[in-house]
Amino acid sequence: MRSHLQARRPPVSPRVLIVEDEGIVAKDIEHTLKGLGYVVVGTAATEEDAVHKAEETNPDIVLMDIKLRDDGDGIRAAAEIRRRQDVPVVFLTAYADESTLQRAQTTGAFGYVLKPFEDRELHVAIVMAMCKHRAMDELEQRVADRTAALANAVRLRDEFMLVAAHELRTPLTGLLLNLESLVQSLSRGEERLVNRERALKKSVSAAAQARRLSILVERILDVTGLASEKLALQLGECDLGQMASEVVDGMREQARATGCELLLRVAGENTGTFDRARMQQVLTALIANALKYGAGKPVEVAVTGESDSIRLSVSDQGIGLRAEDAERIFGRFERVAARVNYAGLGIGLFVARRIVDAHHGHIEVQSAPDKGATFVVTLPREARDSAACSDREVAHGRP
Amino acid sequence: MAGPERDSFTVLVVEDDEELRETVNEVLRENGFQVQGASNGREALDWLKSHASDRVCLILLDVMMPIMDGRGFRLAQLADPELAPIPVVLFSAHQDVAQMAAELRVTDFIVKPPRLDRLLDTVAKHCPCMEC
Repeated sequence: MRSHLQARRPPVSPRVLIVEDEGIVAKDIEHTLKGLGYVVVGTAATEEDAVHKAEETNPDIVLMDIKLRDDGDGIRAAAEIRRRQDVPVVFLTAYADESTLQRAQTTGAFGYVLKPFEDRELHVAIVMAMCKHRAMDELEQRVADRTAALANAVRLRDEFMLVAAHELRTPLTGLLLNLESLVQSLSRGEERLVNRERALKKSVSAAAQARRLSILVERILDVTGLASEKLALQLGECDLGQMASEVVDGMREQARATGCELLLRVAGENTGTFDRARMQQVLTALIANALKYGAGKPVEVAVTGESDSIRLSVSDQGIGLRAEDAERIFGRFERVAARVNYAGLGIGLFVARRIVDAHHGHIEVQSAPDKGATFVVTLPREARDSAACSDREVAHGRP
Repeated sequence: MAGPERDSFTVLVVEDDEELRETVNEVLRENGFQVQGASNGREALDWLKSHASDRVCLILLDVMMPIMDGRGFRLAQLADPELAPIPVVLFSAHQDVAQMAAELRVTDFIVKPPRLDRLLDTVAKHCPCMEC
């Protein structure tokens, strides 16, 4: 035990302040402490002197008698010292009654040693008090770090709300203007017939804007749901090659607008157990991303069946990204490029990763600035619903 | 009738969202205004410099746009004595559009989504109706 305690003694001798009104006892404690390798930075006999010396000498620990000179109270002195500085206090006293003990506890006592005591008892009490103090400091630091992380999460969410509101208002503006202008032309109707072609054009535009709104709302809800880690998959047999072909066909128009040619290569057997709608979402996000940053050059989608897994990849030849951004872009609300261009919610890749994770798959990006980017998703052929599994495991108390 | 000058008659709509820009242009045209669209501040500046900018009665300006945003456009416009006098109305979904309007010393602002009346009234204050 001794060797263990000695081994734990810090390289720098702890500095101790002794508060004891009996001069001879104070001398005795000082002698003992020095023998144990401590440095005594001072002794105090009154409550006031204790507070003053603690502030002046800034000790690592205070040994505090409870009954002090001039009706002084060690517990009160300890409370005052602790209020002013972060130092552990160990009480040394002959009073072992319950009420004194309780009062000492309320000041956050780090130790309580009854007189008369053995050297080793004192030593153990000091070591334990300093350990406890260090642990509390670490805990406080962790609480502070966690609080800062939470504050940051709240800030990100607030920013997201602003971006989301902005994104929603654009199609909402178009939708309202189209509808109000339809109402305007229909109510003017008697003198001149409503222009059928114009009315149709407005209705089609209104419907497109309403659909955009609906998709945005889905995506916003998605990111909220996914953040709380409740992504439930609806697994079924699915051919990822066929799925990719449908997604690519659906995005040809968007590709044309960005000037990127969209190519699809399917090889091997690509049937497995997946959530088809979620996998469509992943591929759509990856292709949309490639078109956005693809600088008008060809974008290639490949689906390759291997023995136990299926590999989905989307490659562009655009602006690429730096190695240090490769992880960041999968974070919530993050963007590949600076926020000058606010288009998009900044959640596509985040959602894609959550879906791939839920399938026990893996997603990564290979890229360099101006060298394009290749996003690769590898999925085990038989995915499990991770969210449902972990819920069951918790319910049955399995590890 | 006293009203906007008939020799400056084009509304320049600067908006990056194509679908929305088309909708705004269509609605303004239908109500008798002449309209020109631009998808960002840079495109708007280029158009103004290569056309008779004195024909422009009003610039309806979105704020968040790629390439050159509304703020960048406004600063460039103010720096050019030929373009500086053209009235600008901010057209934005931004939270602090009012504050931005004051900072950029624009004539007015419209918060997205607006009422159709509000949009038409604002435009009519500065531009003549060509088919009325």
